[in-house]
Amino acid sequence: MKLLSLRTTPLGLNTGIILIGCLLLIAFFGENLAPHDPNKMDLLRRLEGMSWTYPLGTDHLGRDVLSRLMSGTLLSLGAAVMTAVTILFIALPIGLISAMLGGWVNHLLMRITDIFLAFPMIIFSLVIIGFLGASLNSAIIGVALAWWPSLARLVHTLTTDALSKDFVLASRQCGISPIKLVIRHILPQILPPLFVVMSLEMASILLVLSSLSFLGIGAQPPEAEWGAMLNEARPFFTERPGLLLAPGLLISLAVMGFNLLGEGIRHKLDNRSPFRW
Amino acid sequence: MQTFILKRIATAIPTLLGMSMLGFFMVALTPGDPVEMELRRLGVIFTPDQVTALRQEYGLDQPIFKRYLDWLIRLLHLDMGHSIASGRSVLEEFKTHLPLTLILASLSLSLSILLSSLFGITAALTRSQILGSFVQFFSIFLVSIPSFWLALLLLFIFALSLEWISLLGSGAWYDLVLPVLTLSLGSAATMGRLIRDRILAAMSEDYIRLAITKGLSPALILRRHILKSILPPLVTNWAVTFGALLGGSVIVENIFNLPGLGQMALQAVFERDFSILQAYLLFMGLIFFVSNFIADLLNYWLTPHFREQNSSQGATE
Amino acid sequence: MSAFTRTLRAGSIAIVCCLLPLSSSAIAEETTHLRIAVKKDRYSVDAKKFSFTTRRPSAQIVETAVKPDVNFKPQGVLFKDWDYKNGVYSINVREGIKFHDGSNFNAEAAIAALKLYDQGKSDFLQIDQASFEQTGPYSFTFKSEIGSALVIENMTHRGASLFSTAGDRSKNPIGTGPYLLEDYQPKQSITLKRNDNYWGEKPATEKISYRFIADDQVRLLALKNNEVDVIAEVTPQMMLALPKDGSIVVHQSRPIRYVALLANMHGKAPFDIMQDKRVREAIAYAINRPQLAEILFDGRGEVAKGILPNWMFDLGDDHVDGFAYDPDKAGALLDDAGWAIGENGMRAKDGRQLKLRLVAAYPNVSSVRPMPELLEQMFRSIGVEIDLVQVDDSGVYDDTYLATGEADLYMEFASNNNTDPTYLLYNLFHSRTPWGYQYTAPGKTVDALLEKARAAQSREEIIDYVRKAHRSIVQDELAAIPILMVPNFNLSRPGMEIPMFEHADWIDYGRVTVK
Repeated sequence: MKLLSLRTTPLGLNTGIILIGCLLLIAFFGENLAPHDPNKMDLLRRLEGMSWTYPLGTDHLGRDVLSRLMSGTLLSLGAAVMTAVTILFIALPIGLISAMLGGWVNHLLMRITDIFLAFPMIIFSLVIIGFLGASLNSAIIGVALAWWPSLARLVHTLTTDALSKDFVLASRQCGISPIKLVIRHILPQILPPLFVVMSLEMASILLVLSSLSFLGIGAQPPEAEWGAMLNEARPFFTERPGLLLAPGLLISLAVMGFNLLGEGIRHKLDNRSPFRW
Repeated sequence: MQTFILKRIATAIPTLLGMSMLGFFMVALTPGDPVEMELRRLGVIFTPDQVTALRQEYGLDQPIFKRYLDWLIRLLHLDMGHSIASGRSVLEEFKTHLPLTLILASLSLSLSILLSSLFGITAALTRSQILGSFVQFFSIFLVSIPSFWLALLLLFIFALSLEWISLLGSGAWYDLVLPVLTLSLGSAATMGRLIRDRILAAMSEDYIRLAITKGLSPALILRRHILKSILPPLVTNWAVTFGALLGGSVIVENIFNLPGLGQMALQAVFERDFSILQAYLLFMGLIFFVSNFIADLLNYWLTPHFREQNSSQGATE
Repeated sequence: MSAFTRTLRAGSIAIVCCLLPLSSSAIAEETTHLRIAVKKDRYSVDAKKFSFTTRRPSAQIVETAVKPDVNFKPQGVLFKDWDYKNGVYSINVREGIKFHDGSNFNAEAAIAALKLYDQGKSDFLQIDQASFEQTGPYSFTFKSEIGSALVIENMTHRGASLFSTAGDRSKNPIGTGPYLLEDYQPKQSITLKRNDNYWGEKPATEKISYRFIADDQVRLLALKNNEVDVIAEVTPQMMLALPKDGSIVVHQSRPIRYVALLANMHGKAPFDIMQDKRVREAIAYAINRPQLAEILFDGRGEVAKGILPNWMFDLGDDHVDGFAYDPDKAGALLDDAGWAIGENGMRAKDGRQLKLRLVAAYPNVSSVRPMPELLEQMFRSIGVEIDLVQVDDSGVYDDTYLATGEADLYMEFASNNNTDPTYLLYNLFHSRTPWGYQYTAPGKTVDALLEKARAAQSREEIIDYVRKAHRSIVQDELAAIPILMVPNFNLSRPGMEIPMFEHADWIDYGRVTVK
């Protein structure tokens, strides 16, 4: 019956923390630590295997794969963070406003989120990218615009919950201004669970952004974004399967890190223990 | 029952209208003149007059609201216009691309349900610590693999290295093995985690504890109590997953060269094929609505208390 | 399971079942069945821009009046001979030809076919429809709407194929060609079988299947995996990824496609840097063409002096000089233009960075990659920063960058595929360009030369003006900075002979042989 605590939280959470920690280190220092200039081509040493000079070999233009992976970490993670921030930027006010004002505003806003939610994410982002032209920035905007509704709904639910607390009701009756109410009482209640969700969402955002780059409509070469690297490596995949393995593995690890982190924290917060046979 | 259905449909109408509007305007306002693009693509010397005439013909010279209304009215007659790229009717294009994606999504959903039940129930009920953590970890691992990478790896192993499966497909059933596997592994892992969490949550309810202490067998408890409480959220999840599979098949179709709906939409974005895109977005919205509707109906039928708008899970026998 | 299989067959992956026992056995049987991988299905059945079976891949069901010969001059196919005098074209059509449905091909049928063609919006023949006059069972006359002497030249386009007016050509096109339609699965494949009653020399290949495979990589892998015999549309990335073991053979034509940078000649700030001719020249001298030629396209590309191949129309290439690779000269030109090198190695003038936006979009990103990245590195090394924009969407390209002039350099990989010698230059570089290239058209001098070329009534005169305009564009004005001349490529397994041609539409796959 005590198995549960052993098998879920600590190991997973720790792995997650270690993974994300390593990635953050690479993101911040990768560019300086990288053995080569990530964009420096050596056209005479294309598609080379592993060696001391090029630990993970070179790509089709003779660029060092390891250096590209390292310097691409900031770009890949940064893009996901930017997307998450953009999503919050849209979802937070909409969720808050609809929950606090209620009535027809709430109805309208929630209807609008319904409408957005009905479209498949990837295609919706695609259309927006079609609008803006393919680039990492468009991908970020596209994904954020397709993603905010689900977050807005969550903010809405959390805010409604928060509003129903006695002390919030009390301060509301005392005539506290709505802005103060949000800052003092609501945000402190909704932000912690929101960040847990965002950690899990980060995993999915990373996946979607790299998918778009892989389809060639996100980050554009020579940017060393992981998905874009995979897209570039694709033609050479029978020649040098290693070119495909490394970026894919890195994406998987990063996504796994965020998943483990989010799951781990969620478990910590959720202290109901189910009955075990 | 009837009032429930009517109510659902009544609330859906404004959403559907909003969806059609969003889809229509988003596509119609996209930069890129389809007429000039088409002429240019043909390598034709064209005059401004020709462009104007062609634009008139496509109705592109009309104000956008009028175009939307016209489109809605034609939609009621199932006339969704013609593909600018192929010249065939949108309906024909759907007939060409839809079956494959439908089959793909249905098979993937079925496999996901099967695998996830296996995963989920094992993870929730096993007493073996090793098996439990393995299933847990494996499911997180599967959720974390990008589907396009998985697809490429599967392709590399089975089509290029082992040559068990042909790359372009040979028309046989096993062509779909890899795409279905790619699509279902990820969603199976997500669903399996949901099942596990739900079972564990249900088991922490007092009435289950009571049943267990009363000495009922695990199988009986699972079937009689837990299943009942976890099915409704699962059914809803399946509906959502089905919609996501239909829309998310674009990458798998791209990698496995399957001419499905996703490929059609991707091409339509690149080619500014307005009618196709607008119809596609509306169609996906409809699918979303219909699958959720079916899920709600199933839930309505599954759970007596759902009918009384009572969502508490405390019902006992 | 059988019901499921049936659904599959019927509904979705309907692939011509008889080609299933694929692999090597098909080759062993003397190429009776050729499987060719092409890009996506681009056929349109819309009456106004009908291109079913005529657009690439050309299904050879219908034939054109004339086709380009080795020098890209028109050569008779369905037309036996023709004459142009005083604005009137007199045509004699070939006798003894029958449509697939058994009806005769004669002057009446030819006129009907040309009138059918005129219903399309993509009318580049511009025949005066009222001027058709049948002068005999196999002869007729017509006039050009615009007094052009180049109507016959424009008939070498597969788009101007002569269809029979019988039946529904969007379902079952009837023509006079060496092949008949056997099966068409939109977006998947089109299969043709040999027309055993063909009027000309019968092709060797009994059956041709074109598989539409949009993704470049999948096309290459399909060839490696023996699932197709030939790849007809080859990208630079595919050429870089060729296995070194000789398991894939490259077939090539003479050089035909140009890789060039078009310069924004009239851009508004901040896209006005290229207005300075010294900057354009510096860019031209900064490109290491020999290195690009060696690495890209399996070393089969050539350093370009212009954008028209020298063999075409007997143009020669003495009228252009080209640019050597001379980074020092490039640097000196930029210094001279006031762009001084800064501490970071990049150039600036009056506090403004020398940053150029290079758009690579035509025909699409996958067809030009990795050339933009390679160029970026070369320009960076002379202190020019490049903002690389790669667009896989010609709509965005046209509207966002080309028509608005919001870029400094436009990289294009294209070719003149028309036997009209003025076609490419006029459409791309005349100020009234119909294709939206206002910002890269140099201006009055070139306009005047191109107009003279179009108005000229003899071939020699036309070619002479084309040479002058070409030199003005690539040498004097540098509106186009030529980089490479590249052959048209096909890929296959060893042992196949493909009768290559510069224009992909005119590769005769019916005559592919296997050793």
